[in-house]
Amino acid sequence: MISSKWTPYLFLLPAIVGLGIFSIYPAFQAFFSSLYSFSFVNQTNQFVGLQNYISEFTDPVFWNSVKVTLLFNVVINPLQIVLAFGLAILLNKRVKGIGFFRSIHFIPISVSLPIASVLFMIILNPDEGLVNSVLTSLGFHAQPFLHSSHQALWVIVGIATWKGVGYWAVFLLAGLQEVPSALYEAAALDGANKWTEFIKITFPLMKRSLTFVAVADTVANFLLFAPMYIMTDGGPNNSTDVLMYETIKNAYVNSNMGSADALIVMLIIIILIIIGVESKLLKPKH
Amino acid sequence: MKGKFFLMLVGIVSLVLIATGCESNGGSAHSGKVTLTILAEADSADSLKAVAKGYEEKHPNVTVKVQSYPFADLFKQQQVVLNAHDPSADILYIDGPTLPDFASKGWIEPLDNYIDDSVKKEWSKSMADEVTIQGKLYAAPMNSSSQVLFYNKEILKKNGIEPPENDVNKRWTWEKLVNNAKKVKGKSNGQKVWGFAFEQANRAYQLIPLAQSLGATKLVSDDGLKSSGYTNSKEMIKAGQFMNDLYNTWKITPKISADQTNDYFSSGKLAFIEGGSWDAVDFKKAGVNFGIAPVPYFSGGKPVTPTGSWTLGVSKYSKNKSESAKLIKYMSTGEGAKKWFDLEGNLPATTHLLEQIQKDPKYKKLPYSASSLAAYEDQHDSMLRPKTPGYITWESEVDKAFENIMDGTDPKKALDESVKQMDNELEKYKN
Repeated sequence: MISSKWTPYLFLLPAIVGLGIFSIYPAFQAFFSSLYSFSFVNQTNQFVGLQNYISEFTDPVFWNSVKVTLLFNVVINPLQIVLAFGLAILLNKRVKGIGFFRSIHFIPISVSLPIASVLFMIILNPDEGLVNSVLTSLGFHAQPFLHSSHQALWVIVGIATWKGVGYWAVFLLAGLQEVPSALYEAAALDGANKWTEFIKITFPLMKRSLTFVAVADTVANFLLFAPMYIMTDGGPNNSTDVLMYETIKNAYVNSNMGSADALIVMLIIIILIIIGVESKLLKPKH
Repeated sequence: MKGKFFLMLVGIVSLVLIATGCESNGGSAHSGKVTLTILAEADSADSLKAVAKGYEEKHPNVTVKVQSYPFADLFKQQQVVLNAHDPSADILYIDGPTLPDFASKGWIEPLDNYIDDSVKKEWSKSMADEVTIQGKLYAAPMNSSSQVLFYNKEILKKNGIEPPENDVNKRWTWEKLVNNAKKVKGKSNGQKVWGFAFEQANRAYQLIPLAQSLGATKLVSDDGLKSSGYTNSKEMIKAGQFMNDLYNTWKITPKISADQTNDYFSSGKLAFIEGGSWDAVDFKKAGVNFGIAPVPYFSGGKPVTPTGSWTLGVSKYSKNKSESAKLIKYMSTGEGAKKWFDLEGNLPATTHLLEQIQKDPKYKKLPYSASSLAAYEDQHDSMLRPKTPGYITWESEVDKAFENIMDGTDPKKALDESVKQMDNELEKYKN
């Protein structure tokens, strides 16, 4: 008999093998490749140590990408989580026809992001897009949207949030339904108002769901690049040039696999640090 | 029961090995039957298939497969396949100026051993130049390209504009075009009618001739490894300012992407468009009442039109190089080239077809007269895009600079920034 000590690991084995092959091995592979640079002159892969990292650190485009990535995430993650939480609370109400409202909020999830990007490009076209037609008919000025370095990033935040909120709300809704209603009844008997109920019952019991959503949402948004790739090419003036887009550009436009790997390694490190902080902050106290 | 655990482990490991170790064998030259795979651009895939069919009929042992990708993704896809040394792709559909890039990366096979000089003589001089890098032949040109100025006769009439003539001696200047485009007013189906647009809005192909018309002779250094001082020369900045003015000062050009411009012209929302000669057939089909004229030049400068186009090269990792070379020879000369020209309507790469276009009475009338004007331009006023092993980076940076200029960035600032990035990237091609 296999000792019972090993049984749990045996059950975990398929998942660990999968993770190892498809996540951990590629991450290490990326790190090793980031120490090499392909020389087109000699057609050889040369060991260059940390040179790929050093060239990134001395490149203003890299620092701009770091800035854009952080700015994007500092805004979009809290925004999506707060809106998703609010939406989940509303969808958790027992009113007539709630099934219909829950379905409606699932619609943006079923539209793929590239398709949504193309549709929004048409809607936001500065010349004859729907949004500008409405704005001008109401007497406002037409806006450049994706053609302005001051607006493009926020437009992408809006589109990604439109698509993301319903999705993350589903997880939070599942969490809300796990909260025992007896707790609310007891609190009501003690004279607690809605706000106190939220702070003392809902929020503490939702910490597990919130941690998952915060971590998964952060990872998704740090790795987001489809809207930038399809709608703005990182522009105007690099205002939407997130690290992930810069990585794709290094790999597939400039044929700099070494630099692309270095960028990916730095992105992984940044994400790990932020996830660590998030997990610490949202750790349940029980 | 320990045995069972290990059995399971062995099972998982071998499954993984099978999953990761699979690699296709490419063609199967041994059995005499050969499958040749072309990685091509989606718009031309059907024509490539049709021309290849003629070859398959004569060579029953050969089957040609065309895998197609949208223009914007083609290079990325080819790069993934080539970086993986994947033998499943035999023939690559390559934009002419990116050939030095492919060659410097060792991705394509020199063809001198497969295609002899007599074949090269069939191609026009500029096209033979485009596929020759440092004395070696790297690809076969499928077609050339040139641009003409299209105008919508009805819009011009409505706005009292005298149309330009289809006569290279009475070529308009850009100044004259702008003055006339400014006169365009009114709406069509409730939407604004614009003055002028470049079909390939913000793409280097159409925009660098502006700088060349102003006198720029080199866009990168002779060795192709330095862009600063060339790509941000005063002529390039002046051309950038012209673009900026079209969009932001005179506001005669709509801020739309390259895949929307032809629709604007086809639907009567654009008075003038500089576009490929091949567009004439599409405009005719769309029912636009249009005329053509030679591409304008800057007053004090000289007329310059772009050239160069698609080529076919053989992958270094193909297992059927000789068979592939035979196929591309067929497709780029003689019967294959004729069929390609009939299907695509692009400017041909062979001198024989170019001469035929200028003689054949069919090419005196619209829409085919666009091809004969293009043939003239190609032989008299055309300039190739720069030859540099870093062309793909160069082009992407120039496109980005023009994109930023459209959005209102100062041309000097936009080009200076792009040049900095380009020169960083070009470092890796130096000894």
